[in-house]
Amino acid sequence: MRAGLIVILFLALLAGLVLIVVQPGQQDPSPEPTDPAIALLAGARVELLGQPRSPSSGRAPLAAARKHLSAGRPERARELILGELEGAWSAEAYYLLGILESRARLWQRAVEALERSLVPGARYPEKSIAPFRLGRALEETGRIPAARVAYRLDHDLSGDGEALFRLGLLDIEAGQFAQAKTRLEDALRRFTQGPDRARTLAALSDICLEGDDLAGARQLLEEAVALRPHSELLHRLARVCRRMGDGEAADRHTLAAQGLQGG
Amino acid sequence: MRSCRPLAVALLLGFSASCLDDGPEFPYGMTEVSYPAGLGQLPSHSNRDPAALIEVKGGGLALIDGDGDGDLDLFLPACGGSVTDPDMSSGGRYMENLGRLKFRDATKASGLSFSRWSFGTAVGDVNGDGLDDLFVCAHGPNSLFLQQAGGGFHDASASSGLAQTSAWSAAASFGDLDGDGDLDLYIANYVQFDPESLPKPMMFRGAEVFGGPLGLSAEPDEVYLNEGDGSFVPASLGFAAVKAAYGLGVVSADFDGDGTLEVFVGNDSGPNFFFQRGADGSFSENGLTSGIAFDENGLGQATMGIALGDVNRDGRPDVFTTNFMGDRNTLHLNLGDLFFDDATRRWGLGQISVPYLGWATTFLDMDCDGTQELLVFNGHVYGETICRQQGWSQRQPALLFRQVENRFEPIHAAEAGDWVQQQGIERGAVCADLDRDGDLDLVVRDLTGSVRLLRNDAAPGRGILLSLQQPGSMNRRAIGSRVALLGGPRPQYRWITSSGTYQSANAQEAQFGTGSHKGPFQAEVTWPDGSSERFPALMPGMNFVLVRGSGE
Repeated sequence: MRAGLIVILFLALLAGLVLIVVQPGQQDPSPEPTDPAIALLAGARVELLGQPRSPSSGRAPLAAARKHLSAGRPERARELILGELEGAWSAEAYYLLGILESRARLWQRAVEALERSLVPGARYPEKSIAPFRLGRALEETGRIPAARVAYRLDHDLSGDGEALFRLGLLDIEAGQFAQAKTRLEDALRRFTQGPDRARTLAALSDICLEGDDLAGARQLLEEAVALRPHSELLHRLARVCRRMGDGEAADRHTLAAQGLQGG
Repeated sequence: MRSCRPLAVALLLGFSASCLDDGPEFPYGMTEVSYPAGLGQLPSHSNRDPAALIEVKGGGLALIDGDGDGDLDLFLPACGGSVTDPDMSSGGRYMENLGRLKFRDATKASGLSFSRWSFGTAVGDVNGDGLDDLFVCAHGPNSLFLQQAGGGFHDASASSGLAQTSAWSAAASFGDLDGDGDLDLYIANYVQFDPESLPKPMMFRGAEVFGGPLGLSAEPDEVYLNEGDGSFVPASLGFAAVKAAYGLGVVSADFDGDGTLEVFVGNDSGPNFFFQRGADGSFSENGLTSGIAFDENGLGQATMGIALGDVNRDGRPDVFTTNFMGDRNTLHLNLGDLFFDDATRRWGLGQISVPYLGWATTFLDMDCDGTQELLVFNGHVYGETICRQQGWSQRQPALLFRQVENRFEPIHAAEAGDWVQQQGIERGAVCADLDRDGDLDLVVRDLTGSVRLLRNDAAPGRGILLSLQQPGSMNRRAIGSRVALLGGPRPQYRWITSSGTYQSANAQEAQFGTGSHKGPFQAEVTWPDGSSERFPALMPGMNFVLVRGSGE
């Protein structure tokens, strides 16, 4: 009887956590089954908020695997990680495996590994960024509501702009343009230079286009291109120039983009 | 009903008022009736691990009135063979519509026996005899089948001049390209490929997979002009000026409403083509300056499926394309002046499509409420073994979206029923009101030979079905026309094309949902030459043939 009550209380607590982390107005409009990753992330939120950064397990194979990952030797890293997992369950090893799978764009496998890396109680240095990694993999496998939950947790943990940027993009997809603008502008304040700022400016230009503010979109993209003269940004700028009737600028940017693409 | 008198509006069939009910259990519900309908499973090789590119690119479907009885029959190009056992293909199949959603295999009697690798189809009356003819894209010479007045088809491939090359043709589109009133033909060709000498395998995300199309030589597309009697001659008209590409799909339509056709060609792994006709009658390729060659980032996509629909309600056809796993499907908004903008993300159609490999796609008003939904069928190209190893799924569910203002929202099984989450290795699909109850039914084809017929059970009596007729014209069904339904809360637009979804020939009809509006409605037809005509007094729950010259 008492055990039953405990189970009921636990389930009620979990449901409450899910309600807290899935904020109203951000769910998909058409009902779909609740993603189990949301409950997993709710548990991780309780554990990770306020918890100091954990030390490494000290396992030599995993330390070596990290070095191989950093040096761009994924197969050597994989061997070591899988060898470690043959010996025992290791959330730390699953995290590194999740990074490997993400880099290979094998997103479903990344989700499986990263979900295991967030098992309650396990401690390793990167655990606080595992929710973001999991969010990326969830997003690429189409599990958008769960990805949102992961990004929100990452934002609460790290406070940096990356999660805000991803959430802003998802807001655009969800048609929540005002919220997207707020988040992306917030991200922009954190990204003061380089590619991160450029892609955030490009995302903000999308919001301008939604409001038919072509001049605003052009200005943002010109700033982005100045920061990072990449073919994708040049193509986007060219499209806006063409829409504005500035064919000369459009042709110039298109040519520049093709030059960067080698075309 | 083979021919219709040129009445202002010929009422063909009224839906039974007794059919009106409270609506289906699911607002977007479809009921699979494949086996009772005589469809279901066609012969196919059972190998779920394809060994070559050619095994995974078919096949389309065609809706054609192949016996002149007024209903739509089905043709299925040969699909399902393997390079090691090509005879395991289903062969081409002609399924005669017996009415009440019953089909029977009438391949032999129809003369449409076809055993070679075949892919796309296009339907049009090429010789102006009032009967629909069928073009089949193949690996090797293509085929033109002319429908005979007494029934059946005659293989006119050689005499028509359309079997001149041995290219791998993926898709084709009939349309009056030169403005002389008859149906010309654009053929999108794919790659140079020899099934007996397979390209080397390549790596995709760490897995060894069959080779191609990257690394193979592209086949140039072909364009043929109709001589006015159903025979064709190769034409340049500026089309030949472009570099060959991996063509997978083609749709011709009047994208700017000027009374001439443009041609959109979806190319695999490279820029799409967009051909515009100039004042001198020649075409120029303006994909890049039209904004439709690439996605918003200037990247070429796979572009398998193509759907036309007016999502921003400006009377111009927008273009939706389906793409490879890891890439987004793309919504190219037609902004006018033949300029398109990739609005995918802003319309909610981007990230949700990334895990899927998309094929047939179509806009259709499933619930007859006056707003079209968007449907995408999916399925991987790589085999079951590889997919499982990589954490992918070879069999994938469909994606269904409803439009809410200026964006699309996914519709899940809770509102659509199980059909939307049934997983398949889908390829071609067609939609039409096959049971003539006013809503659109679906036929979708799986790579392994499954042919699913999905009956739409949206509330009957909430739709208007229009078909066009140009008496005495070589383009009898008025391919290239735009049909607008007026009188509801807002105008609705449809385009009559000979091809679309993926390698398929959809019904050359315009279905409109009318919701709770009782009418009367009126239709405004913009004929292929750009002239307009209005047809009043259209009531929901009925089918009409709009005959040119009998409107206002």
